[in-house]
Amino acid sequence: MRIVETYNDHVVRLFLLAAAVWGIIGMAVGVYIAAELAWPALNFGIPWLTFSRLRPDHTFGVIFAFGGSALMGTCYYVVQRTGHTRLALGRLAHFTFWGWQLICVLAMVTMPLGITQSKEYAEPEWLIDLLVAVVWVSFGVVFFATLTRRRIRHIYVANWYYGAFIIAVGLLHIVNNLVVPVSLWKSYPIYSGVVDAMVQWWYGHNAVAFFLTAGFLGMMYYFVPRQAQQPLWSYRFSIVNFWALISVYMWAGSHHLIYTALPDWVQSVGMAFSLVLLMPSWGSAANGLLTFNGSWDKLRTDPAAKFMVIALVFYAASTFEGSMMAIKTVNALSHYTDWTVAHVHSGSIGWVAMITIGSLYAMAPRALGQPAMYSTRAMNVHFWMHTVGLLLYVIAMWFAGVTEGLMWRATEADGSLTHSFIASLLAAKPYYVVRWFGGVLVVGGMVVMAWNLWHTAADARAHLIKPIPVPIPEPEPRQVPAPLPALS
Amino acid sequence: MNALWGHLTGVLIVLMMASFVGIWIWVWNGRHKSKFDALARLPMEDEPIESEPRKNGRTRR
Repeated sequence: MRIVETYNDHVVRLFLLAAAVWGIIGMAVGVYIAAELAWPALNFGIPWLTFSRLRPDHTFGVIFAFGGSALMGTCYYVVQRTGHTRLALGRLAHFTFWGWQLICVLAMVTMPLGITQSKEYAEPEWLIDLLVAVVWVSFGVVFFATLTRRRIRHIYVANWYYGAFIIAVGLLHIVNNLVVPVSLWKSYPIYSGVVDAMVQWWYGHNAVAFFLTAGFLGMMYYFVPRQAQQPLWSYRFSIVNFWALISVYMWAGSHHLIYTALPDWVQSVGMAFSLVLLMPSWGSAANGLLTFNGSWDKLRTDPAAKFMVIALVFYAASTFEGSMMAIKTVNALSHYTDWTVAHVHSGSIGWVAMITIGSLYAMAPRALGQPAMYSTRAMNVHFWMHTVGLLLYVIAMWFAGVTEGLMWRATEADGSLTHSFIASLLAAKPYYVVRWFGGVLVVGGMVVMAWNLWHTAADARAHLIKPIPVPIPEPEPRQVPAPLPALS
Repeated sequence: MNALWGHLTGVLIVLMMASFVGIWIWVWNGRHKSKFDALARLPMEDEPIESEPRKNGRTRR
């Protein structure tokens, strides 16, 4: 009997579950620390409950645990579908799942205990960093090994983005975490002073570029045409945008260090590249939105498509905002204020979370052997909770940020400051309460999604679903190259 | 700064600009059109699973 090759959706389902769980945990921590900013007594004087200790748990939890699980799961799903092949190295793929979950748990436990490198978005100590490197390289091996046994000759553009994401994040992680360990839980970076700052923000900005943008664009380039049931608006344009994005993003990191000890010309380079970056960013956003041409009526019936469209609008909006904020004169007002917080959350709650949620809603029924999600009404409830929460959050932080920026720079005729710092905190307090409430809505939506996924997964839990066969064409006589043997 | 360095960065910029224009020419080359059109449709192949009545008779909302 001929072996029927099937897609490996088991590991995809595991990552789907992990993404749903980490999404709730990471965002709930965010809501708690948002409450601490509005009502500082909430830290109860316990060190590991303070904002400073919990904040890395929020960022790591949403970026690497939630986003990372969603990225790896969708990456494994997409590379199989766009190559008409089963995932290579199934055991190694499972290792990447369990390894990544172990890393997330270790990081989330050690950081509140004060075990940290104190590098933003790279807080976990050297031992955890080594584990990350091993799991990340394994992830790359599984991905590229699957690409080598694809049955479609050209590599679909989503895989280019996933590939860039894997290679660049590996590079960034290793270079930024070069440290000298002095004990099991303490290390010192090999860089010092302004060089350390530049390496950190080269890493930090490219974590945004290659983790939070390239990876999620991979998701977008597959799930948007799939959900719109329209061909990608321009495949050619997607290739141009890919090369432009990856070659420009690498140089923009110094815009995080404007008006610091960094040489002025390096600041200017970062500003100039950040402005150029607007073009490939809007190129991808336009390509995704125009793909919906002819399918706009889907927005009335399909909440997953709604998530994707709003995600693309926020991608365009937040990349425009980011380019503007990199201009030195704008940065002089916005830096160190809550405007930065507004910007990063319009990118993360608006673009990243919404494209992820849309893609998970698109992928989950297929990976769980169902024709559709358990409840469309719950998806709609989630959409509105998330969108309203996002708008409350971002608008509140814009108001707070501009207020702070204007108050901090105001001076009297004799040069003294018009406002004390505490006055700006009091002015921002109402906005902090609104921001907290927006966050509550977003987490509530994630709980609704988890409930919906749990019910959609009923058959999968009962082992009632069959693996999906890979569509393999009948081999032609003397086919060159010879057809790949089926993987069981 | 060494004058040679200035020439080197100048040459690099010209090369990068040429490769950017080259990518545009390559993707708009007519011979890729049929391949790219087929690829643009690739994500649409992921057909939904046929709807089956659930064993426990639960209705879908």
